[in-house]
Amino acid sequence: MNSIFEVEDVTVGYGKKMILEDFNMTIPEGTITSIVGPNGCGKTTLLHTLARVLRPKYGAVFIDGRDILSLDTKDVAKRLSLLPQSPSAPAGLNVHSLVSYGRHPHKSAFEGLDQQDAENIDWAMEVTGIRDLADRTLDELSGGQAQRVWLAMALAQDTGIILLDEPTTYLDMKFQMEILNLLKDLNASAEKTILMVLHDVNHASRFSDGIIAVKAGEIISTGRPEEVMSGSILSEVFDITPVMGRCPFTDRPIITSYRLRG
Amino acid sequence: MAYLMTIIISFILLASAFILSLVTGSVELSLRDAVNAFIAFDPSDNGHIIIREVRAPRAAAAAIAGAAFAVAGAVMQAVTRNPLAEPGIIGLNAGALFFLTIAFIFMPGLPFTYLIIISFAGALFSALIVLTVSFFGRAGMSPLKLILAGVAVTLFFAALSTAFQLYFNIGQDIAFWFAGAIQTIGWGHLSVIIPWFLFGIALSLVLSPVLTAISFDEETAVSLGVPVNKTRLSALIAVVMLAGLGVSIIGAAAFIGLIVPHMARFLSGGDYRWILPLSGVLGAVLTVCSDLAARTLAAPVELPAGALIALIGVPFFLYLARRVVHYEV
Repeated sequence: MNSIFEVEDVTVGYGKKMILEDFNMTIPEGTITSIVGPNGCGKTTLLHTLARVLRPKYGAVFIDGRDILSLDTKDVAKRLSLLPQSPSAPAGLNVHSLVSYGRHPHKSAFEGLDQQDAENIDWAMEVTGIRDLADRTLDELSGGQAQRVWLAMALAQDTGIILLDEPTTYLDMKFQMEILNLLKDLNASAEKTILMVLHDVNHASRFSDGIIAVKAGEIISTGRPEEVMSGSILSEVFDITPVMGRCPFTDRPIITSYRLRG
Repeated sequence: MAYLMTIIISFILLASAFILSLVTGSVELSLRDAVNAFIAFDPSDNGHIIIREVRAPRAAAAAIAGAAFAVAGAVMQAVTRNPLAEPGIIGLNAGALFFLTIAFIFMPGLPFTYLIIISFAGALFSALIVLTVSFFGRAGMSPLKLILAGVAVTLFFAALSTAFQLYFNIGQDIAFWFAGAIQTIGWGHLSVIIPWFLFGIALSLVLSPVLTAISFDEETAVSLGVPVNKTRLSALIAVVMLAGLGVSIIGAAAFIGLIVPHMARFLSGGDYRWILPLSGVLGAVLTVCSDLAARTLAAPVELPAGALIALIGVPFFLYLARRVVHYEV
């Protein structure tokens, strides 16, 4: 499998405080990869660096072998979309216009939406189940509905790579499962490369091809869920004592319960 | 196309307000006079002269200043992602005031055209300081840095101006100038201003699709392929042009830049491709009407147009704020 992302010796942070130092990682094309780790371990920083929101102080991120910062940002936006953790929209945009902004990278400044754009927008609103919300504004929606609108916008961007920062946070269990199933479908049917930060390691285990477990800016373990989801690794990463079991649907390892270490 | 209709209706309103300004005043004139003054000018007809040389340039100046402030305000709100932003926050007013103060002290009796240019230069100067400070440093520009630098520079220049005005006892002259600049404006002054105006408006309109994209959160804006810092810098250049010339014509009428973009947003949704042109036309309408009211309500005494804009604007703004309960601030 080709690697689509390569992170080479990246040191990145905010001001003088570096979050990741000499960080290295590769992401294979067409896979679902989840980044897991405790709060403040650098998951979001990593995702932001991959999405060129943050510039590395040293090192570089390569997308298809080319330094992401050397490419035109609009071209990058045709290949990579990001669903941030808490996105915000300009006041007054309705759901349909918001989703159609996902087409922004594909258009020149004053070009109107064409047939292709309309199809992409319709499809994104259909699969995320927000057709009925088209004329509403974001502040009229529940947290779960809003999250699906943002996902629709990222999908309308129609990129080969989708980055998501905790896409299931604030959602009830049904919506969490719907979104993860949707991502799985997109990966299977449209060969999208999906890279997400997840809080729930059991979701990561069930839905990912690969898991990267990060703690304090270092990768503790990376590999297939069967490799990363071991009691000893999770114990080290999250500072807990987990009880491991098996997911009855996928037979992947999951945490059935846990207590604090010690 | 409902938005296009809104813009067309606003243009009709503007044309009506403009014509009303031409025929109303201490000398009441007819619509026929107004038309003839332009297509069949008779230099011996006093009415024609009043329309051509006094009322028309004044109404045009009000329209230009209003449109400039309103568009600059809308751009500012996009750049800072702050619905309470207005163009004055980058120190324009204080800079203009400071330069005028210096001019009144060291070059008293300077002709009007020069004062407009000096005021404009002061606005540019202070904005330049604010922009340099806020774009300086590795982390790049952030809306918060911009606002903080703007507040600091505003306070600094305001303090200096106040001190100089007290010491040299010119406070009244300055206040008089700010209130009265528009009364004496002529085509000559406008011809200096109009190129800047057109440049600022054109730049804003070219940027308008990207302005919507940057008014999302930072991550989403980057993800959509917007060159965030470059866009902000170009947008602020447009703001400085427009608000700078606005200040030089009608003084600190920040309220137009705050309220009109909200009216436009209320009428046209959240897309800056509609908000900007609509803001421009509505800003012009509001200012032309306010200026007309300022010179007619208590004639022959002229009221300060800026105060009237606030008088008309505040109730309307409160009405909007009350109606749009969910409005995100």
